[in-house]
Amino acid sequence: MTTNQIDLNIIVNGKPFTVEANINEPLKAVIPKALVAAGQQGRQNEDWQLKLNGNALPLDAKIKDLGLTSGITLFLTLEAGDLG
Amino acid sequence: MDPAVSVGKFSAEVAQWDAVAAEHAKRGIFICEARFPKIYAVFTAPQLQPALVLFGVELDFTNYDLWPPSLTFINPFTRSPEKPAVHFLRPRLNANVGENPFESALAEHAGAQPFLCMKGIREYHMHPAHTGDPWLQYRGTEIGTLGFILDKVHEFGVSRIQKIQWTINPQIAGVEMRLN
Repeated sequence: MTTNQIDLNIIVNGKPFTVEANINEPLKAVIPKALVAAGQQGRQNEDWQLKLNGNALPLDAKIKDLGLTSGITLFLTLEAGDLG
Repeated sequence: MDPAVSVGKFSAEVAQWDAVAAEHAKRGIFICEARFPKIYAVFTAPQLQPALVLFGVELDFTNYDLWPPSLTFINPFTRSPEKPAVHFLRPRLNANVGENPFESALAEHAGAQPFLCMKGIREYHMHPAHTGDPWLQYRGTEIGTLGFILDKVHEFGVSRIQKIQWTINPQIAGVEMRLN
């Protein structure tokens, strides 16, 4: 692992998965990796959001700019826009 | 549906939740009891000082997942049905400029308990207004799972609470006079 690579713990549908991420990538780059790990590939990547302590994170921001460090836990959940 | 199948799916979802219960606790979500077919969860607001207990929910996984779970808002202490004292807000689809970007996620009808008007909730799919959106097209997806439901309840009802306002109205009940 290079110094730019970190491991993020991402909880999808209640299950935790570890996803490797490059801190220079936008956060949204980890979404397809997490969905593949979770076997949740029926929806577009844009339908999902990543949350830290209940707050949605800006997906276009670089991981390093969000201050995310290796081992931090994020929640990957469906956007609420079309749920009822 | 064979109850043993429902019990198995229920237990698997509870186990998934328990595996990361410490992370859910950081958001203020606590499952107090999980005994098929019911789950009792309490939602708190750890972002407030002091942190507050906000409301509880009772989930009923009877006949899961041929049926979606039923959700009832309850008093977290007595477990009796109770309308939550917080607003449940979700982003409004296609909101125009100047319009409130949020709408209530609670459906309220006179004489009935409010319910969470959301796909994956039994009360939503059984409502006459949603007969065109049957549960079975979501069965087996994330929608309607324990983790999904509790996450959305937190998102709509807790995550946007930033502060609490107290209103105190002191009243003088009476004046005692002593004559010497």
